[in-house]
Amino acid sequence: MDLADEKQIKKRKCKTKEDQPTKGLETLRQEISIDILSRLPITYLLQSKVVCRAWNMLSHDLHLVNLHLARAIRNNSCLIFHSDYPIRNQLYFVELSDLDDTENVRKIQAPFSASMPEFDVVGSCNGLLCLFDSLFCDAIHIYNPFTRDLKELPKSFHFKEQEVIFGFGFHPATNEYKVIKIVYYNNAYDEYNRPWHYPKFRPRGFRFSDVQILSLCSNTWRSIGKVPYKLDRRWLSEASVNGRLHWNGRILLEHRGGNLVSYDPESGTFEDLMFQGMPNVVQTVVHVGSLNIPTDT
Amino acid sequence: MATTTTETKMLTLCTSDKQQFQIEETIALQAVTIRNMVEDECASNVIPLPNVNSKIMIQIIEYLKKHVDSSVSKEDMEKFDSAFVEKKLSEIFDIILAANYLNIKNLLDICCQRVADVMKNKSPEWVRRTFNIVNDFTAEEEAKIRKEHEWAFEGVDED
Repeated sequence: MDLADEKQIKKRKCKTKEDQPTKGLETLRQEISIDILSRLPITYLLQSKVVCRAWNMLSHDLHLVNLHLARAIRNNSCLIFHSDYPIRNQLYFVELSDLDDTENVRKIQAPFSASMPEFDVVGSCNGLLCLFDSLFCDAIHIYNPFTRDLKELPKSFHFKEQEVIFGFGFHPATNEYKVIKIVYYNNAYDEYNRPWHYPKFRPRGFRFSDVQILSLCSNTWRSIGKVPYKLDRRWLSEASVNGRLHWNGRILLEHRGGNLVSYDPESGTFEDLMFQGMPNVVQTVVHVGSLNIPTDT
Repeated sequence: MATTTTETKMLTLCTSDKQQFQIEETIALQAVTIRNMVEDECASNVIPLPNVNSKIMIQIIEYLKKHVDSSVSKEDMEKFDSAFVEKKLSEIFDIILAANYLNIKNLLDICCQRVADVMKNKSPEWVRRTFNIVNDFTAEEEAKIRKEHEWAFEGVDED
């Protein structure tokens, strides 16, 4: 991939004589095709994979992936809805176009729906979702719902009694995706030596903490010590809307229970926002539709 | 008797079909390729542009003349740009090739955006027809990709 990228740059540098202009995209050089494709919303980009083999190949081109991502971050946002109804957890998405809210909500066919029936969305970053298996509290997955690429992260140490808070982000200076895991726990030794070791009498809250970081590059968890803050999971909704999204001049806010409200600063009015086919939402996530894949090289 | 006349320097551009265009240097220098030629002094009196024909050159000059004018407001410039790209796709492709060769970033930008805007909501069949692309997938291969991204194809116009 890198080599192809390099060739691409070299080609641009030495100005080769082009063929005489004719009538099709096939006469445009690859960099221009990439420029055009990078401006399309993610669903159209996926459709373009069936046009021909060359375009299918292009969808893996690092240059296109990065250019599209950079533009998508500026222009096309979509919302991911996380629903836990009826039995299994399910992801949906809606693309936010410029002026209408008549867009249909579409179901995402996730490859893990059988193996991970219940999950939490930890966060969304550069087109990648970080998911946490909430049934078997140890597995973290990095998932691109549009390319369907899925990467399971290694399991980390599990305390018998613990509360865990996750975060997911990208470090531009080192070009690394990182997952942060903050664990609050009581250790077994501690429990033994207390008169109230019987669970009924155990004081609420945890005495110890540990912060662990995983970089997708190294793919191993590393402890960086304890955390001086007591963070509350209920108030951490890094992934959700909460005014982070401005759409069509309005600010999107998330209700308790996942419903969306839009606030119009001009008229000062609130409005419930229902897209067609809106599921029973437990969480709404601002997401960028991208071809980015969950490997960090 | 040196009167201080601010003489506008002119450049002559020669297109692939040997047509010559005399334009003000400030207008022409917006094209990075031309600017490099002038700065490197490899251009004598006439600058040859073998990759651009006169029909396209006329449109590009129209664009450059507007964009050199600093008195035009941002809104008016946007209006001009959106009207400018209201052309047939084949014409847009030719302008893209010329803008790429002449290295006029804004022009390339609005033309690529125009193609992308037209492509939105269009089926892969439409794309193949419009861009003269031969479908080199077997029926099974195409069906497989469609199946993988089934939901992406919801709500696509057939034509």
